[in-house]
Amino acid sequence: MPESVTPEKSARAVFIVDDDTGIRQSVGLLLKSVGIETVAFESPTVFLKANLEDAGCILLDVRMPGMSGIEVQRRLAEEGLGIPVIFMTGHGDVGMAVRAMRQGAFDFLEKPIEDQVLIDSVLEALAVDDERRRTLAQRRSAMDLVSRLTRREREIAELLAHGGSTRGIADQLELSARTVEGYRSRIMMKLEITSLAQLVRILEV
Amino acid sequence: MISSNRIPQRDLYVTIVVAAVLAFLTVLAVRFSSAEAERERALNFALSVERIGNAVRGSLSNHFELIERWRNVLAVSPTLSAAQLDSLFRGSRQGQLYAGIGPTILAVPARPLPVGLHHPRPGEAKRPYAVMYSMGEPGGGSLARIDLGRSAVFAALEGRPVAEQKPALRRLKEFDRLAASVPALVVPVLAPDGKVGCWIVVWMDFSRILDRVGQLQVPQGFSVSLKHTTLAESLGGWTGKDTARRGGSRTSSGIMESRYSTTLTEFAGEPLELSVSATEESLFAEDSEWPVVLGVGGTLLVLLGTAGVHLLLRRRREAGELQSRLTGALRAGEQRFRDLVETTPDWVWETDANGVYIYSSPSCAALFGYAPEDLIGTRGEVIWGAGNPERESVGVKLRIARHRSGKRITLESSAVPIHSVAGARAGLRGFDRDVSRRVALEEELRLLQSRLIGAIQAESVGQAMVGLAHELNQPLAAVVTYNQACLRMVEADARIDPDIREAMRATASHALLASDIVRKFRELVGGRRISRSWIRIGDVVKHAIDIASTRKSREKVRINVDIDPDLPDVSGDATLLVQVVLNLLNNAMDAVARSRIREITVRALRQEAGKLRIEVVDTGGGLDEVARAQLFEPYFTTKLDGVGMGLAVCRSIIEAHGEEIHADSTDDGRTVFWFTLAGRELAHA
Repeated sequence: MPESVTPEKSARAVFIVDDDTGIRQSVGLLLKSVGIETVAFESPTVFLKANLEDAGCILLDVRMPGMSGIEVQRRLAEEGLGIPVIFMTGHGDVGMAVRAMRQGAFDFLEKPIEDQVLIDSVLEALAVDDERRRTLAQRRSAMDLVSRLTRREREIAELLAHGGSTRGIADQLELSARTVEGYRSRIMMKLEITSLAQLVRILEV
Repeated sequence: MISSNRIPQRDLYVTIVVAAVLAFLTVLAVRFSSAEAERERALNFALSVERIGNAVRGSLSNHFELIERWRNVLAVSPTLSAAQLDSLFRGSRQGQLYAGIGPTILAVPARPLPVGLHHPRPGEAKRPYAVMYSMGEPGGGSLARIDLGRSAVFAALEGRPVAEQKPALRRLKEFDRLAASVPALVVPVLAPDGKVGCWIVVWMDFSRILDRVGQLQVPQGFSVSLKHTTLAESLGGWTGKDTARRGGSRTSSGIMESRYSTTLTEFAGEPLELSVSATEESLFAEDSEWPVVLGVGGTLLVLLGTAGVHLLLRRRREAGELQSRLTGALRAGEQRFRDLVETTPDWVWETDANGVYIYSSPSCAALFGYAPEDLIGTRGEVIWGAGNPERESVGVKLRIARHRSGKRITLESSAVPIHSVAGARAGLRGFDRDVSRRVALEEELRLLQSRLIGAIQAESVGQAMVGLAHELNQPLAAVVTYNQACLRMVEADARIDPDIREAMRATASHALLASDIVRKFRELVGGRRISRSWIRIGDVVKHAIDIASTRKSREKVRINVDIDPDLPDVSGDATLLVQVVLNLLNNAMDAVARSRIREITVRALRQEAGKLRIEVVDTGGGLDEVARAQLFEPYFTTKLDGVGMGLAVCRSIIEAHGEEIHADSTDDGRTVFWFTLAGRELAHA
């Protein structure tokens, strides 16, 4: 008995790639019924030309004319796109599933797929993708901040983050404690932070 | 006085000098003409050695031609159940499947006979036969050739219950007394549950072959021998009937020697070689004195001419002696040739320009039931049939003769023309060999092979059903999903009649049931799981080409194989992969049938990530886009008489391996079908 699910809205759509019109439409309809937006592609070639930035998850048929789902997944991985891929297959073949999972597939589902299983898997994938994009954005801003530092400042920031005292750093770099103190306040200013704990977090990313 | 004395004396000197010069020239002339004769004789001699060699080879070849074919048949047999094999080898008797001449083939139950000694029929002496043992789990269909020696048997016995070891060791002891190791082909036959049902063991009974050689009527002066490195021990240094007189010292002084060697078969990785040799001394001992006789004779003639009338009588006597010696030498030479011709089992004949037989060797009595006199002077109507006399013609051909009893005999005939001194065609001379037995065996094997292919095809239909089940599952999956989506949409809506909701739920469960039935059906039909092992892709391709060879030569298609022997082994089911390559080859042969260049290339290359890519390329004009999209779908075909199963089967098999199969067209009208397989290094990574 289907339960009503209220998913957290994802900004991104689920991309469905399947040469079978019935599967494409029915899966689209099912996901739409729980408020998930979908974009459908009838062939891998058309799909690979699309703007994949908008995809939060990819539902991929294993067996398609021209290019297999496994091959599509390999190409995505080559381009460094970390979008979660869920495979749909009409024949639950263990060898194929192992290969797909080894290549980093998010899930491997056998048709006919139970609605709740599909929805859960898609929602999970979307959440993973959101998290991935968030981390990516954070890392990007942290890297922007760190790039403002000079090489010397970067070096001293690293030593501070590793728990070095002003005195110790001064001795290690053969500088005066005052100079190190000066560097420290400049680093705090450039990174727009006020505490050592914040410094550690930025450098960790 | 002085001058009158001197003149005759000078005349005598002149006469002696002239005589000496004449004698010298005569010797030269005789030498020269005898050198010509010498060459011709050398040629005839070498030919006769080769003929004897061919005759021996012919009488042995039946024993060996079969083993090659059996290798091919057995290479694909592991997929067959014991029951299928049983029907394949009809007339099997107590496990003995086939025991014609040549290879002996036995089906041995996997248990309880890990080690055994095969006993020949009652009344026959025990012979060195193979000891058989199981080698753990089967290698999955590749041929396992094992040298069965002591150590191998002990290794096989290790870990077996004592009760099983004891009788085996007893047999081994007996075996030790009899012979050294005998190589055999051992092929596991799998029962439906995947366990070894029985072992098929094939070995060459070399002792029988030795017997055969021993029985050969080798003409005097010839020696026949067999050579095989691995088997040297079991052959016991045996050589054939050897009646050659050994003239070692004279051989070095220019005596002609001729040798004919040929490889009869290959076994245990070594060739079995037959060689026939003879020295001219042993055949033409008297003839070799010809030049000397003539030279001396010529000198005598000149000297006698100058010596005067009183030596005339003596010269006559000398000439008479020479005449009789020459005639004797000629007769002896002819006798040798007659011996050669009349002891070979082949039929040797000669016709005049009208096709009338003027000579027939006595072997026609054994072959046709007629004496030479029945044939000589006729055109052989009694054996070729009255209405349709056989026109003898130059070259090698197969022809049918009729034995006096009415039995048909297949002959392999070869003939050369005889020319008269003036150069006109004076007739023909030739050899005929009875190949009836060989032809019958070939026919029998063809039949077996076609039955085997039938069994493989039955398996293909099973694979195609798996593909079909998959196709059916696809729309069912869509029905289920549509239904579930609709249910979700109507669930929240209170205005919808509850009966509609109920009906939709029922639809969903029925669709799921249908999908379940399809799944069960698929498991049932495709019951045989692929049995993986490490195999050489080159072997797979070779087996497929062997099976396709008849069609290949009939349709004059060229198949190039480009496979680097250094490629790693691949993981897969050898039999099913042979089926894939065979299907692709058959497809390619269909494709090139209408094109001018009939060329197919089978290639294997490394791909990234430890994969091998196997390609079958044909020059059949390529594929259009529509065909390319549907190629692998069941019932898709571009052929008038095709059912569209071949490629669907290929896809089922390749996907069951977890691999991919595709087709591409190139700009120059070639079609490339390719599939991937995991190479061995991947497993280590």
